[in-house]
Amino acid sequence: MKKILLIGNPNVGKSAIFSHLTGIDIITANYPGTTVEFTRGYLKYEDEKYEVIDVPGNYTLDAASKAEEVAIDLIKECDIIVNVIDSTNLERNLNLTLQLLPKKIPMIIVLNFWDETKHTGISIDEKKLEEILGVPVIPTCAVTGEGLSKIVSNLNNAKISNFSYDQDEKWHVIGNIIESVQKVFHRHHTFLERLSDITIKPLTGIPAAIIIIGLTFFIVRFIGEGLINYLLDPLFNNFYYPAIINLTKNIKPEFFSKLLIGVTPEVMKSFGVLTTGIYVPFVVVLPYIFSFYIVLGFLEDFGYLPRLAVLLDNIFHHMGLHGYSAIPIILGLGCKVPAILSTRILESKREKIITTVLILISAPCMPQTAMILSLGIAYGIKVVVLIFLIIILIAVITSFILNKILKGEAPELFTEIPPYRIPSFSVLSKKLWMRLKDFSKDAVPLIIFGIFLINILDILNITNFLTDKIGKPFVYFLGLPNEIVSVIILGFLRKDVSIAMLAPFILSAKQFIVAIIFMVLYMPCIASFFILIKEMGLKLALTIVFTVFTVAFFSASLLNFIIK
Amino acid sequence: MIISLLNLEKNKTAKIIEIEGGPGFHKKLESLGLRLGVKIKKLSSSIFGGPVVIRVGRTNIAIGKGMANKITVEIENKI
Repeated sequence: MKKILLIGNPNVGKSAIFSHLTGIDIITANYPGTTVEFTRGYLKYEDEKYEVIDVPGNYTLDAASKAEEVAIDLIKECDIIVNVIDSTNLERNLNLTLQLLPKKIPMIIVLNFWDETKHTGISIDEKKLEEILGVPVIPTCAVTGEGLSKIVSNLNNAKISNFSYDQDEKWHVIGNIIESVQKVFHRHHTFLERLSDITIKPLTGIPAAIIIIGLTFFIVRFIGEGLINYLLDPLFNNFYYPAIINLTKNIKPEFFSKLLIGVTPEVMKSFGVLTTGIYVPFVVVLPYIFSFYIVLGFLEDFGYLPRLAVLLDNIFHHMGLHGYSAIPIILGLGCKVPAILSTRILESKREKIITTVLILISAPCMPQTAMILSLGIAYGIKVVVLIFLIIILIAVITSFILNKILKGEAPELFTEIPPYRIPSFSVLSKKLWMRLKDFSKDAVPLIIFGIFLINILDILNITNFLTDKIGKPFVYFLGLPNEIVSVIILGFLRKDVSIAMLAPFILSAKQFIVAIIFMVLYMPCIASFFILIKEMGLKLALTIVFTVFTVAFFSASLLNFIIK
Repeated sequence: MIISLLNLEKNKTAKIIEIEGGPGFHKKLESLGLRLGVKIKKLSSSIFGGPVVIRVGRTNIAIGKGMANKITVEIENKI
């Protein structure tokens, strides 16, 4: 089987092309470093099967970073190189192309973002480029799919180039190529370019960022709460719940009916697999996952995140990071797993450690946030806001301390800011669908299982046993009821469920705050724990978990003593 | 006029004439198209120690303050 390598600068659309070629959906976005992992897929054309590999973006092949070394190794054993180029940035992209040509591997060049050349006032003579470089050149627009079928039909035409040049004259050579294939017309700034300037310059960018973040929270809550109050909760209470009660009322022995629908009719307190087990993932959590990823998907594809990174750079430097760490942290508001993975875009290990700690403690993930809103609203919106403010404060203090303890300096920000692009509706909905599918596949079964486990441990009286044996010191420092210990122990399995488990307790506002802060922070959920080990190694992962636990315990105890 | 990129005025266009630092640093800058002789336009200055934003060709690039200080540029006198 022939191996095809998709290679090119960051943020040129390799992953979008990969999805089209192989039918495998991977997350794409408009910022450099979206893809941090190699993805393999397969493609069949004229009875021949090809393996396609999506390589994370590289600017050069100097073997200066680990990503570049891996790319160089892959090139050695591949059969066809598909070099994806951003047509609006020929010069920088050709730098990589000129490093690929001498590898003597059959190659195709893809000029992506072809549609953008028109309104940016560039005209490229692709035939001439083909002539000069001696390999097929195919203009495409990956978002709409335009030209992509030509990549496949030209696989057999991939050629080894015999273009040669003097290494020392590289930029001169590139300059000459551009001179002969590209014409640039004068044109006025587009609306998106003006918007870009406004959101980058600090004077206008900071107010704009505040508005955008505020709007984000408003929209997430508006859609999430709307779906719960006007659609899902009525559906559950008026149709699903009565039907389930009806179906299960004759089930004997009582043990089984307890497992299925619990003992109390109050859905958040019953812990039945078919009552709470359905209500928590589908009515409370899913709407917020849905609304958060709508907004995040839009901001990602529009290209806002790198601009936020630039604006936050100064603040982040005080925490030993540079602004680009903002991107993993924002992803962490949704789910910690992709967020921890995305720390690979950061350069130093030190940065990765501090950012990972921040991902874990700066905010709860979306399922937890949904649960906190759902339970906390009974204490008033002020309590909920206070909880989030305390969490952010703890995160900031912790990272200041980590910055002092861990030796080294934050590297300086050096990044490309991609142009704003109008997101494609079909790409956005596909991405949203993928994220919802991942949630349903990975999280929902665990939530239901968690609820099942909690219920069965309770029925078998194991909960009481645990509470008696381990409970005392925690409860003393945190000022919480004894029974909460079992919640804390089981919370590791499913953190969002652990918050749902607070529902049956009658907690004061103070106890609620302390309990939530502790339970949001004390441990990563089991999925993020495993990804942490994978990314950091066992020793470092355990150190991070221990650090986070210490922070959680001290801050929650402190809160217990401070709040009156 | 010869000045560091950090101190270059906003909205001014200038040519890179010197980059202080080792080959690694040169390579890093080159990967985003910053090298001797290249014309850049400064879009925003560093405020409270934040990064400088410049435009090179069609790319906007954010550069940390310290790095910007190592790049020397010459403002072109328009006739």
